[in-house]
Amino acid sequence: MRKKTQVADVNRSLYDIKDKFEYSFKTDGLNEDVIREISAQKNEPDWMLEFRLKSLGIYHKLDVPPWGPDISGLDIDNIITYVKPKTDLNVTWDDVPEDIKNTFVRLGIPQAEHKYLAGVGAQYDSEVVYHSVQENFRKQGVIYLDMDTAVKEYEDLVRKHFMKCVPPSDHKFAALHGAVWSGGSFVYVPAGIKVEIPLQSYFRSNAPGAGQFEHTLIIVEEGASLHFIEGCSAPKYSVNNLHAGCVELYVKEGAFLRYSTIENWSKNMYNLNTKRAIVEKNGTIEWISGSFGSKVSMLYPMSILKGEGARSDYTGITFAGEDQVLDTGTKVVHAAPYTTSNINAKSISKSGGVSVYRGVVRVLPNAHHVKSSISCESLMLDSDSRSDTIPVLDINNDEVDIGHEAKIGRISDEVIFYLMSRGISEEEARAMIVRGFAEPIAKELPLEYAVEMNNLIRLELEGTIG
Amino acid sequence: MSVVINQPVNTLPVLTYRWLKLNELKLSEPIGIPIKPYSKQFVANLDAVKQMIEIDTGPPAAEIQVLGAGVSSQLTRLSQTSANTGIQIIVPPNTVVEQPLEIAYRLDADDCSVIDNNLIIAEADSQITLIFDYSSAPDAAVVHNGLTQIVAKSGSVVNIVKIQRMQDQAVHFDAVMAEIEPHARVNLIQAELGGKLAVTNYVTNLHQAADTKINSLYFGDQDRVIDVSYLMNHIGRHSTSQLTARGVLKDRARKAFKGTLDFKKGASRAEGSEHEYVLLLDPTVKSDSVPLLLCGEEDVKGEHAASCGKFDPDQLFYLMSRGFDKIQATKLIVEAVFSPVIGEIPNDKLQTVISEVIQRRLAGE
Repeated sequence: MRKKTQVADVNRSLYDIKDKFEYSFKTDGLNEDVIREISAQKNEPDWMLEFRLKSLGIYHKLDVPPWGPDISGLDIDNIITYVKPKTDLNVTWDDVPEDIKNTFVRLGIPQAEHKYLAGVGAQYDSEVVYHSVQENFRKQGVIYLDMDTAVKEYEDLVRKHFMKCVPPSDHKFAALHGAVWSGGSFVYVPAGIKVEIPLQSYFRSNAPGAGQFEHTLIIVEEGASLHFIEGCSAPKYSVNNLHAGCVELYVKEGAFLRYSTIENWSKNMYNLNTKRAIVEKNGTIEWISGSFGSKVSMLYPMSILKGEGARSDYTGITFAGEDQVLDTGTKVVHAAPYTTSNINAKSISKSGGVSVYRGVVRVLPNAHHVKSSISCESLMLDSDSRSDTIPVLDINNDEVDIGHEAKIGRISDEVIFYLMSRGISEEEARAMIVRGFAEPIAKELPLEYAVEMNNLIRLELEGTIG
Repeated sequence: MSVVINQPVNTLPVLTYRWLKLNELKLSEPIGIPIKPYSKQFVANLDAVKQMIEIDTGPPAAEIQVLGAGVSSQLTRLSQTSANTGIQIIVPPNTVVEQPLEIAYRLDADDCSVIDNNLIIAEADSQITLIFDYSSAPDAAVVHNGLTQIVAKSGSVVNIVKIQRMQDQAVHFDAVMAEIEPHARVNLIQAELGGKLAVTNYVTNLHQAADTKINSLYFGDQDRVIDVSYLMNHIGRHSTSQLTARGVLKDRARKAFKGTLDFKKGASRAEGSEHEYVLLLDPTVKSDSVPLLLCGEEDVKGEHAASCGKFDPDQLFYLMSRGFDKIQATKLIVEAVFSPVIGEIPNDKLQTVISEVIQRRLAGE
């Protein structure tokens, strides 16, 4: 009888720490009054209130997509859409309230900052509570603010870009986001500036039933470069949680942006996040995406290659365990000639988990000399799990070079046998193969995220040996 | 009397983003299909084979369960209830019919619709080959809607060749459904060459150690719309499938290729592969591919690959340096793309006819 690889569930107790729940303001349900209240609380400009109200109208008109995972467990009207923690913006770490700080300490954020990080935009519940930017960046003219402040301090810049990349009409949850968004990061890198150290935003949601609607807006001007790291981790609660964030990235001519994410939500989270980049001439967007947590994820970072010579690279890994449906992938629109995209997606399914790669590469009629290479690989660790690959190639020009490959399978007995013949134990051989499978992703991740991924694989090792 | 077809066709087994408009093909306008008898003889070599098998011309009297919606449930129902032609075949156990059975329909102003319903039952360890050839008279607005159901019993082999070379005004809908029992094989060779709209749908249930091979070609030029769909349901252990589709698109042709490998739980040691090669000849073409890989079983091997682009400029340059002009060189390259499929057709005359159709169209005649 052949042995099956046994993989233990990821121990996420570290991330399931919850502090005593306190809030100074919250609302249930979703109507015009709620939106007005949110906006008034934030003391926003009028145009933003109007934008929210317009989005609310769109939200009520749009339907839930008929495709993709089942999200009927979600009842948006009973979700606390907005929770404001009992602290205002903090400039220094010392000012952060103790219980909130404890959560971050346990997540290792301050240490990481000393070693490695340029700034921390950490979101506690729906509001940014802690924030710091290294002095030299300020001198370079790099702006790194929480989104709420940016709306007031850089009103014109925000107004020009806010939800222009992802319009509220895009889908129901984008409209919801437009109506109730709160918190998030704003980054502006002036022309020619190379930000050498990655900027990191580590946020987590903490209120039972709280929705997280953070908005990330990044503008990388001509010839500038930035690496932005987003990480998510949320404590576990019995109420279903919704995360409908929005990430808008503007990569200008010749600019470079790498956007790395580890989505590590607790296993009751509906993660319906929308991420999109518009890339101008000779600009590059790189997406590094790891999806591990959540109950249901629908996450498809999209690149619109708008200028000649623009480029998009997507490297993603999805690990679906028990009771998880992780529907992830990427969308690329080649809207200009000589644009390039590379997609490298991997998934692992175990213990009844469902992982789905869903993506599209669309080449518009005017986009000649397009190159695209797509590779999807899935590993099934048992037959209780599922793994689906749903790619689309939509080609509207003949001057293209498009290649697509997808593979699905288990760990091959022949390979195990070969390694064993070399004196490696079966358990170690299996572990080596799984590590090798995830390696191309792990090596693209920044240190502490790679540690998190290694942690997953280590747990897998333990499960195999045990 | 006629029926109006208005339902969307070739719905994907699993839906995806709506903005792509690829979950199903909506007909640009309702299509009326006249229901009246088909007048011509359509089995070319009936006498040669009728000693060996049970054969009835005309749609089958009894219905068997369909494996899916087919092109659409509306069209499948139409073939079940209102077929004006068809054949029913039972190949007795251990009978090997060497000579292919040739079924040819010629649509024209008089016979402007063919609604065929075919049932092929291959008993244990039998073998049969059928060639279906659909053509139409120039300038005749005709419609074909077909349903072919195959039951390949244990150890049998059924080869189906479907050639569609109708003229520019024709509409073609064709569904093939195959229940492939243990150790049986069904091979499909398909050539989609004509019609203004060609929609085909192939679905199989593969039981233990069952096998299906699909060799398909499509050639789209002018304003043709081609929508081909294949669904391989791997149900049994050790079941295998191989799909190879080769296409050439020219002018304003639009094509959607939908190929799904569905490994059901329990189909351990199943293997499936899917390959699509598309050669694009003009910037105005549209080529959509949706190769789905669905998997609920750990111990399987599934792969799909698609490539799409213009032909290699070096190849073209080489041929032109040898004295071929661009059209001749293009013809040679296209012939090379299609020859693995055309070469499989067990009828020399049809091979020539197909090659000629393609060559003529490439030259813009």
